[in-house]
Amino acid sequence: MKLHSITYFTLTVFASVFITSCKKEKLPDLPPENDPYYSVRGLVNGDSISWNVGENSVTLSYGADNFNKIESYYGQINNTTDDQTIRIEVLRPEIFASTSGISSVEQGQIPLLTNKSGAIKLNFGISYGQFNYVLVKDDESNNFAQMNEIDFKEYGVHDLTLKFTDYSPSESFTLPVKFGFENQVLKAGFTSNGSGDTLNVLAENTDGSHQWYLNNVLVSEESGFSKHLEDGIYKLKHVLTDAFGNSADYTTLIRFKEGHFYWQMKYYYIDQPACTSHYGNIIVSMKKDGVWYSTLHAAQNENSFLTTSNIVTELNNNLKPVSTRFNFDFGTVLYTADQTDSLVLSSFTGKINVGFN
Amino acid sequence: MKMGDQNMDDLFRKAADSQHANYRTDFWKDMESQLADDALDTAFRNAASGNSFALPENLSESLNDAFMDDAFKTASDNTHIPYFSAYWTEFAANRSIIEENISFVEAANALQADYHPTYWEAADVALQNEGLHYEYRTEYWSEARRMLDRADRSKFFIKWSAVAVILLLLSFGGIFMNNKSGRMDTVLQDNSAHTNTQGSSVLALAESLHENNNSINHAGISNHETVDFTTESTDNKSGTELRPSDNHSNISYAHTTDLNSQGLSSPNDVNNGSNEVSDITSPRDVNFVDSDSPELIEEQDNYSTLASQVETLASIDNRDNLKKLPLTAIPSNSNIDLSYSGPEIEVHRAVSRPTSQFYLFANSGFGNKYGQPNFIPTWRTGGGIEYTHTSFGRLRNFEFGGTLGINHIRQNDFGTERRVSVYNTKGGVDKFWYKLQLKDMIYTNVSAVVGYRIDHLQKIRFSVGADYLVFVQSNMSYQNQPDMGITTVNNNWGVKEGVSKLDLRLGLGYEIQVGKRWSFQANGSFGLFDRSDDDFIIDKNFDHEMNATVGVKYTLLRKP
Repeated sequence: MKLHSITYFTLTVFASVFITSCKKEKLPDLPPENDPYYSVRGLVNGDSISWNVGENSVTLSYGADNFNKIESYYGQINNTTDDQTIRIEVLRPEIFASTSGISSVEQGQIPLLTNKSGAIKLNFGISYGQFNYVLVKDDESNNFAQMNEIDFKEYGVHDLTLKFTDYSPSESFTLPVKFGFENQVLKAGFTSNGSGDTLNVLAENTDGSHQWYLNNVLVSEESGFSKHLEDGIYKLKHVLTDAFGNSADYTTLIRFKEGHFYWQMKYYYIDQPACTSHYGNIIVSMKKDGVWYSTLHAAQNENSFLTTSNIVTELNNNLKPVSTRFNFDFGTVLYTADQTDSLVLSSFTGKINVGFN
Repeated sequence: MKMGDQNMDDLFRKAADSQHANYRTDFWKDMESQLADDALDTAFRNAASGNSFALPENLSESLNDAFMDDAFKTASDNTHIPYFSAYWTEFAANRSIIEENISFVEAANALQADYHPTYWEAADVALQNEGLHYEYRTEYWSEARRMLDRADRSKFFIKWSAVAVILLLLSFGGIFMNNKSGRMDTVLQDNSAHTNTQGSSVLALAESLHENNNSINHAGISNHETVDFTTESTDNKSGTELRPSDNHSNISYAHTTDLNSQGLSSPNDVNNGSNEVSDITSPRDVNFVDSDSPELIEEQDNYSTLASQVETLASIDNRDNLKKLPLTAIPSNSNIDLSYSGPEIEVHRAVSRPTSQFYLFANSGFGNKYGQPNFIPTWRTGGGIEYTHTSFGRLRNFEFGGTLGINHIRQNDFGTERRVSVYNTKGGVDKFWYKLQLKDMIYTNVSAVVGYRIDHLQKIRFSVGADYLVFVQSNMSYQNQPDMGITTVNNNWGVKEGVSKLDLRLGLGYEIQVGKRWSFQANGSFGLFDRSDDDFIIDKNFDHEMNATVGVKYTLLRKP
């Protein structure tokens, strides 16, 4: 083989080896960049803030909580650098599911929850004399005293502890009383009477499924029931559940005396508030400089709203809501609990995610 | 005198033994009778008494030689070698060669070499292939012609002179052999009385040859025939034509030479029968065969047998079998016309033709670093092939052609980095990134080249070409999966992003030839386009390719 043939062959071999054996990894494809999902920006007392979750140590936390035993769902944007937090808490709706689907957060203008005190009065029917033997426990002092009106400082479900001195000087009865969260759609409640020593109960709303708990014992799942009762005071709870899984409950006391039905206790607002149902309201709070400010403590927010949009609810495999993200915008005043300081949040917009677990 | 006789006896014995002829007393008696020359004796005496003369040097040796001459004559007369037709056949087979050689010698002596146009054309092509034929000028033609004439003439004369010398030598040898054959003829004649062989038939053949040769006065040529004839016969292992095939004893060529040295220069001299041998009484005395050699003893034993054979062979009359050689006698006074009788040759000036050249080139140097506002040198290398075409006439100082090559560009810290934040619905963020550092780039280049020849060694070059990116070597690190770690790939050839794929480049160069095929060159080039992809590299600089290189160029081929 001539020298030039050898040279050409060698060059060809080298070129082939070079082309086929060298590493040839392409530039990796990076995922498309997107904007932060959650953010909040606005003016706090005139100072601008702009927080994007995922940037500059801004984080998001979300989950479920309760406001005075009313289930709530919150989303909280935390600026760990400045130690500031914006919290948006959505009180549970009266109805989660309906024919229109899951509605964990209503779209549109949602009232901001502002605490307002109120009072209720107990009612024992025709047994007016019972009032003389009822002692109400004061939650602050834990003392029982006779009260004509029972005051509540905040909305929510409060535990009412009563003693009936003509029944027992020591035994007390505690029952939940909803203040400001009256069911408007799914109403649990009942009427009761007696036939001799037999209690007859009938639900006010017979649609749905019922559970009757007498002294925390399920005694019936019908829309009404009858039961022989001995003399005494009984706590009866009615749970009503509709076809979409929404439930409501109502608890009160029933007394049998001298072998016959004596009374079913009821309670009424002394001053009927304009709104007796605050399901789905939103509480906006902000922590600044270690102090929490909230719309709960600002009476002037009674007619303030937070506007929601682009509501997306994520469901789990059981079709239960896991979280709901939505855009918001609002302007409000937040006060400390003692109302000694306030923050004015204006032109606040953003996007947040609230959780249900 | 006794010493001389003794020597002569020895010599004769040797000769007799070599001739495988038995020495007989009669031989000496004949010789003695011949030597008994009263007139010669008287002459000697008169000379000795009247004059004083200086004896020649080596008189004894001269006398011995003279005795040798006569001894040889006697021996040759007694030796008869039959002629075989094979000898003639062999001669006829070689006759053409013999005549050709004669013709060549005559032509060599008569003809003179002259310039032929084909010599120039061949020289012209050779010059162009050697790269010496740059520019046609009249001086070159004249000088080349002179050179060619000189070279060709010297070649021609050397060549034919050698032939002539050889032929002359052969001719001289032939003369000698011719003389030898003549003396042999004389010896045969002289010894014819001692044998019963019919040497006259062989003698007649030899005489016929001599008659033909005598008409030619060129001793060398005339004797050449004889010499060849004799020489061929001498070399013929089957035996010379003048001796029997089984006769191992022969008058050797050397001895013949010795005889020639005594002044026998032509067959005529031999035919004259001059006899310088004196005082030889017996052929045996002039025989110089070594009588003590075993071969001689053996030969002597065979001689009696051979002698009888010689007598028998001599009785054969081959004259009817002999045919005269068809030789053409050339009169000695004839004039040979040695003029050129072929067609007339017209000499035309060779037509100059354009040439094409193919080269290999390689260069190395430095260039700018991309992405930097200031000039920072980085390494450059390259190589490829080049083709140029040189014409004549007005554009004879220009070369037009093109190059195809590969350029390597070394860059450091030329790269980019990209980071991507991907936010998820859970409020978290995944960060993905890659970092790319481009190290080496390889471009192929195609350029058109115009060269201007300053002189026969130097030229300047202009080029315009296009660069196309083929390979890029880089180092890369990246993370593009949330649950994967960092991946690093070094010396990677798979990424070409960040570098422009096409560029237009202008070049200016200088070249000087340093040998038949090698030349040095210095080049500079400038790219018109931005080599960096600003959208990818995010580089605000306009990165022109600028470089300066030096290199070598090797001429692969020149074709007219």
